Amino acid sequence: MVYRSGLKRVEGGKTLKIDLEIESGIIKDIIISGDFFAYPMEAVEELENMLKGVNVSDAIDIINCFRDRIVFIGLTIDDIIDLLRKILLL
Amino acid sequence: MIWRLVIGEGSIYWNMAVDEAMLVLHEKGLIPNTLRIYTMKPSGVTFGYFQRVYDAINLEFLRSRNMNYTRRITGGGAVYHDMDGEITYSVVARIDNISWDILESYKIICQGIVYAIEEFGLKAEYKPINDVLVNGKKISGSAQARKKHSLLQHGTLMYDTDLNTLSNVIKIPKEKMLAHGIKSIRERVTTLSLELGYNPGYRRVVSALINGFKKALNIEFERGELTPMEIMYARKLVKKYRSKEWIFKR
Repeated sequence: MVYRSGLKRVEGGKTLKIDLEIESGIIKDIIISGDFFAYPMEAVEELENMLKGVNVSDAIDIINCFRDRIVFIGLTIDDIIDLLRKILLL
Repeated sequence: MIWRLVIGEGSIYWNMAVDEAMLVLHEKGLIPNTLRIYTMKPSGVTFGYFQRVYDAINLEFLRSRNMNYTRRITGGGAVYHDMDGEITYSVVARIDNISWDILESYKIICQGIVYAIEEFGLKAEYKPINDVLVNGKKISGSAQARKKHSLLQHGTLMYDTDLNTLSNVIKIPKEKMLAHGIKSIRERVTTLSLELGYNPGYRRVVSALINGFKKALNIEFERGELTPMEIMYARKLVKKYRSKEWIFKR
């Protein structure tokens, strides 16, 4: 199991942190946290659940599917993608 | 338009439970638009729905002081609620009556805080997304949750908060400090007492808040109490706010 974590301060916005547990290229656990706002709130947990059990190479595509389903305030979905790419060295 | 005004005090668990109960019951059309003004007794800490507890607050310090802490249903950051120096407000309303635009609705409601501070002859400014500043320093923070038709926005106004305790209980990532160009939380926050040179006291701050929200929302208030339904529902929710599952969810 590999644990990876990254933090991003969004300019003019909020703080985003992603904690990941990866085993043989599969996301075992992911927590997207920070002092941001998201509407509807439950959609962030839905996104996390969708990402669990998924190959890291497919993660970005899944996050992109949530582009129209979550309104983030204080960051954008691209900040999540950027940070995840950085953590995964993609 | 006439809104209900409820004034009270209670633990952070009780107050978070009441706010959530009000949002749920308002969504069902069972309670009117309401402004609630309350103090947390005893003092405690709340942190944002999406925060990880270990990143947001200093648990060791809180435990050593036997202080309460819980997760909110709203996003945003950690807040120290000083029973002798901070007043919390919550607005529960139809989204129709505020604005469907989320950022705009933050601005409209935060304007109530700006007007309240101006009652003391100070200049305050709303800083998006959810802050109110005096002389460039944060004096108030707010957070909003939404259902389909109703919103809950709650937030703080620090009038005499003990900033030493505040900086001991809240953790700020160094990246955030760097972004604000500061070395400690104390450089970025202020209180009405510090700005005025005297403590305006609880009563004056409450009445300034009432006037501020009247003006910002263009409404009148009728003093009321929580309904038995709200109290019953909040009593159920208190258990959640006290539970490890909820607090350590992230």
